[in-house]
Amino acid sequence: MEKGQPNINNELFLSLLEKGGKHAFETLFRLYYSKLVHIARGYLVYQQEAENIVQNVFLRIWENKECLGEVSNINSYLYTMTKNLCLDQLKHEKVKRNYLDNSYRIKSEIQYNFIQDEAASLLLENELEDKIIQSIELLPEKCKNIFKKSRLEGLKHSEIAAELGVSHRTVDNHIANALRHLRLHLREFITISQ
Amino acid sequence: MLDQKIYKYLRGTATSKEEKEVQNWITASDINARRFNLLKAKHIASALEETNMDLDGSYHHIVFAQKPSSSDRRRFSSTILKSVAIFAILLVLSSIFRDTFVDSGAKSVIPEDAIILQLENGNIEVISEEGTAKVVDSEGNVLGAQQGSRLIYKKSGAPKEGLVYNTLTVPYGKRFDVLLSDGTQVTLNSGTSLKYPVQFLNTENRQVFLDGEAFFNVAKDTVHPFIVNTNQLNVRVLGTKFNLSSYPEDQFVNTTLLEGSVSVYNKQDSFDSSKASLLEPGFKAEWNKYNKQILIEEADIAMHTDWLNGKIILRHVPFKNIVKKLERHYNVEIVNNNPKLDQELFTASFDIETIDQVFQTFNLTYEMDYKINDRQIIIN
Repeated sequence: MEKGQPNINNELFLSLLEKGGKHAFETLFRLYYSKLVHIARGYLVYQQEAENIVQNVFLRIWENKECLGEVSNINSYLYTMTKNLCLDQLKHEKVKRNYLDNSYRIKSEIQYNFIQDEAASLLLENELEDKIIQSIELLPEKCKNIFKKSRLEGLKHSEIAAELGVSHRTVDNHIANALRHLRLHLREFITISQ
Repeated sequence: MLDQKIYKYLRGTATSKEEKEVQNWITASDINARRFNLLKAKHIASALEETNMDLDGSYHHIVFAQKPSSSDRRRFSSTILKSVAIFAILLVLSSIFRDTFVDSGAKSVIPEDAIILQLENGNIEVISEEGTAKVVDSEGNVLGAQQGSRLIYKKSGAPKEGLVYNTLTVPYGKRFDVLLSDGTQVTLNSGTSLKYPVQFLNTENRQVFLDGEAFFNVAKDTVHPFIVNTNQLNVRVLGTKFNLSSYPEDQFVNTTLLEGSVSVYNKQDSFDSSKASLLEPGFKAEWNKYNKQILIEEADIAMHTDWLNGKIILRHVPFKNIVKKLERHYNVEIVNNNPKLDQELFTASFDIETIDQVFQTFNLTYEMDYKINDRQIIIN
């Protein structure tokens, strides 16, 4: 990543989150939610809890947003929180099921070992950050530019319109497009743009 | 151990024998475990972009969980209304989506052929037919226990707090009994799920929610009518025996009455005895989901209830309706590439036959070109 490029870890974005900016929070959510759920599924023995866990992660972020100033890497923060909640869940399930069945015991042992493997963890955490940055970088140039200014730096639509010499409506459209792409998860978008 | 085998395990496509083999290999040494962990991390990472979720629904879920301050509230009210509408639409869409395409991601770790009990807090218990399971409340009191292929809830006074629901889900190829706290006995057919309160309230009707097919023997309680909610149709009884089949993929919801009396009415209307259709023993009410009409006619009781004895009875049933029945009963997938066959009527009865023998029987009356590969049957 080029230095100075606004990304999810830039101070402006974190301060937007800290101030309780709904847009910033929603952006973080759209960027991360399904990816974290996917990771959580990998950590759990029974995957049904994955969505709950990640919703909890976001709830906690929202409730503790005042403390986000101390966070230097939001990616690492989100990932670690998800992992810890999954570990809690594994422990909780272990207590509940310990005596029930043997195949659960083997599975849970393997999951424990996996969640505590530092190398595997680091690989996942880095890969997650790469994918998030990519998902912004792969937006069409203009759209990306406007998205970053609006969602990551917190500029108002009118300010962006003035700076780029485009209409307010154009800015709105680009933001809407960007959000739609984030929602569709870029896969479709990548195939369209190739 | 070959990476291929490990990936197969990670994708959840390994057979249970292969699964055991991989698990034994992982737990055999630290080196193996570390190699597995890295492969697993890569496997998860490689699919990070392919996740496709209902972000709007989940987002609003989180936003709603927060309590807006009073100054926020006014500003948000119209947004919230809009969000609720969008959320509702998404909910409907996602349920249609779920009905059409079975969600493969979320279920892959729980074995597909497991009987599952979901508790009020969302926790999932896997019920093995040889095992024992218990349902406890938040204070650790036992509310229900499993005995073989039966789950029995304790008869007891009304709960201290509101209704607490459990949901029992029975996969294809299996059946299961549940005895509710009011003494009502329900037998769930393959591919069915039933949501019911662990204890009923004294102040309300008894209500349960059915997705699939079940036979009810409702304990008599004239003060508290027993209401089975299905997707579109409600069945209201005081105490009787009846069979209710309401699979989402079927065109008809069939209610067949053996004893007593039941009223059948559109879920959208609240119960009104003058509008509801009253059924007499030996009759069935067939609700057509497409035109929303109810047809009441004399029923072939055996055909509707012999699944209880593990039988399938077919009398002049078009093949396309048989396909689902067989899939549920035998836990197989049937791919029919011969549209003409769909309309062919069959009469037959099966109980101990294997799926192989079933198809041989069909073949006697209608020659079909079929191939059986393990759990999949292809007809050309």
